[in-house]
Amino acid sequence: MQTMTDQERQERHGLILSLWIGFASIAVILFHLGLSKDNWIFSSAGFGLFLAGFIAHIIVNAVAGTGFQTREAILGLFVFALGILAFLISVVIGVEYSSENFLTLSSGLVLILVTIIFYMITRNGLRDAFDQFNIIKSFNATKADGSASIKDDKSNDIGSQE
Amino acid sequence: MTSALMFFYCLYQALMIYLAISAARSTQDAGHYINGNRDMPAWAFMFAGAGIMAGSVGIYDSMTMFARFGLQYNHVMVSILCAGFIAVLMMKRLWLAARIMSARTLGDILAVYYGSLTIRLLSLVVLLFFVFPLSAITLAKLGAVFSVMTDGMFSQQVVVWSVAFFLFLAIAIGGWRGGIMIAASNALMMLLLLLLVSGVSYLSFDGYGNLKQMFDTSDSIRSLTGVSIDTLPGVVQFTRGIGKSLVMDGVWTSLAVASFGLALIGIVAQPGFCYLAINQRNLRGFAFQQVWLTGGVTIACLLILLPIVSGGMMSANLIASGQLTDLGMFMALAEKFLRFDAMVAAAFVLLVLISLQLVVMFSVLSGANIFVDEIIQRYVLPDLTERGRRLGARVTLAVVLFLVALWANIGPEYAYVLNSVTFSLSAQFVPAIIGLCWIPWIARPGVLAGLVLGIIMVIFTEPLGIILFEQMFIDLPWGRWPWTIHSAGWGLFFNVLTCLIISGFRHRDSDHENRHRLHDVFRSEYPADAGGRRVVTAIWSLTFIWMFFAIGPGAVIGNDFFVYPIFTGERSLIDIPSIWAWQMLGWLIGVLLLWWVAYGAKTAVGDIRQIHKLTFDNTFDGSGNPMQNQDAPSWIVRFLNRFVARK
Repeated sequence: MQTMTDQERQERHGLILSLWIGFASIAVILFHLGLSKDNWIFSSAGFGLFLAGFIAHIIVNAVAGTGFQTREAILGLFVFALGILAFLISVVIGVEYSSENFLTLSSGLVLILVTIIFYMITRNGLRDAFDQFNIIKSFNATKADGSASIKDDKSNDIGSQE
Repeated sequence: MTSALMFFYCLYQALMIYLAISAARSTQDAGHYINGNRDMPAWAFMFAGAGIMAGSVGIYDSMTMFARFGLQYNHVMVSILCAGFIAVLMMKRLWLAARIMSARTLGDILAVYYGSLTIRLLSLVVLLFFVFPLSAITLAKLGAVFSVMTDGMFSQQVVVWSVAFFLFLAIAIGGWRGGIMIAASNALMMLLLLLLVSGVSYLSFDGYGNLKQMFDTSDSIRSLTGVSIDTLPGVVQFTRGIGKSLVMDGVWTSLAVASFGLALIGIVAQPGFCYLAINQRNLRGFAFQQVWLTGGVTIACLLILLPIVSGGMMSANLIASGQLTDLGMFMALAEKFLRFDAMVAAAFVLLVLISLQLVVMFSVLSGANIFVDEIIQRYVLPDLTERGRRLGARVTLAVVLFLVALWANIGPEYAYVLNSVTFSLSAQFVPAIIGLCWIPWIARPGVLAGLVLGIIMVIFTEPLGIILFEQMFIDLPWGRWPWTIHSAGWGLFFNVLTCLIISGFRHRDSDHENRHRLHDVFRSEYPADAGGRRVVTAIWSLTFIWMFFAIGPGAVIGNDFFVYPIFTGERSLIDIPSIWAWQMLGWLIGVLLLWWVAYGAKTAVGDIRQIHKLTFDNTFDGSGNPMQNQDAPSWIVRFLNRFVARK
């Protein structure tokens, strides 16, 4: 893990922002098309773009020698959770999807989840990937050693906890 | 669509302002404002460079030209590789020369190397063409498109001034660093929008199907518009030029295509683009940008995707018997998208707006900053501090943008006439740059004579010179692009010829030691190693063979080659016109050659650890009177003395 200057941090941030502005906005348009035209090709292209954005983000991280920043991870998980919630609510309130579109949306969400898990496992290993979400362990650690888990929580780089 | 377009456009502008603010906050130092302290990241150059190339060739213009000329114009996209080859040859050495000679701009490097103030001034004149006529036209187009697409909710004038104000805000906040990052971001967005729009066009309203139908019935199209849309109209047509005699089947003969490729070299040889390269932190990204992003992705988008989108324009134009204006064709296609989906229509318009905005932003940003470096600090206020330079750059930017917006509003038609020479004039610097980078015996007298002759040829084979001359004196016997050869071709032919002949006689002039010192450093410390003389011969032989068949006279073989292959004598069943397949093949082989030159011969890559500094005797900086140590023409000396004497 390299230490970055303000300028390097901004350069990375600028690139990430530029990538996600493009990928996310086009993906949103594709999802809109997929749903309004009931066309699974557009929906799957939208998921494809999200995954492409995620992969591009990982490449940038690798080049810059960093991992995902905490804020980026939170924003990403929030958007993902929002997507799942919107999909579930739409199913509950009776929005009708064609079978192809339903399959595309559900498998797309699962695919994103699998990709995230795959990334975490390959970067951090199975145990550390699990530890990222293991709140109970951090409670125990706080009792045993007051500073360890707090330090972990405040880390500015999820990928650096190796 | 109006609300969707407004929403996307405003959101996008807000994000660009945010990017500018974040760039400004990360570097509080005033030195970063003008040129990013020569510490720009590789990705910004990579994406911005490719975006500037695509924007300068023109998404909007390319679509309308395709709608009028079909695949014969599409061949121009292959010739963008000419610009790629020149960029590969010159950017690394320009970057090195700037550091070795402690020079800041292209004009500065050439002036110090050749010991000529005239070259510096000529580079500034070319820069003015990019800053004013090109930007004014582009801004006027942007205003017209936005105004029409929002159903006149905003007049063209309002849009022009609003965009100019936004651009001022973004650049004044972010400076060079912020501006180039915005340009890079725009380039990425353009790529993705083009993918979306062409994908929708292909999948949903059968844009390719329409196009194919038109290719299949191209004879009826020719009878309507007089243009052959799926073949090149010969190698050359010995006509007197556009406006003076009729060109049969369209103007894009293979020599027109090749010479237009020479004009496109002007995009990478312009002072602004060179400034972008010079201010990079290192060489990382040079080769990638030139080979894969410009040569690969940009050309692929323009060559393959854009025709699929433009098919709708072509059919609309045909329905109107070829009578539609550019804006009319654009509206027809936008309405087609609108009937499909408002968001996609907004994305289509946004693609065009961003490409136009990118060109305006880069031109005014580079123009204002180079003006501060080259004129204000050098001649008017030499003792300017860093903060003073920043203020000067902001004031210059405000003045430039004000003038550009004013011009875009009150007289864009004059800008069209002036802009006809912009790229061609810029391309006239190629012999000087190649001399600086590779050929030490190219000497100042040759370069200057070639430049002047080249510029005269360019001006007199474009409307600028022809109209002026004919208004003041008598009618010229030729029109625009005589023999269907672009003005850049005429200019460069005479330029190179003159430059080589005169340099051959004058290369041992008193300044030859200076030139050789730089080349000695290049050779000893930063060599380009292709792997031996035979490899170099092979590279250039193959490159010239490729040029002959891909964009030169041999390209006409592609008119029928894949439909009636010579070895079978029967019609083949490929689903696209033969010339399009030929163009794609030429592009693929060209990219491979470009890759070989850039990476294999190490002309665009290298690990630079240390810069060997040189001081040149004929530099205009320093304590001496800048007017006394070189033989500048007396009128230039008198003109500059007016400024110098004031301090």
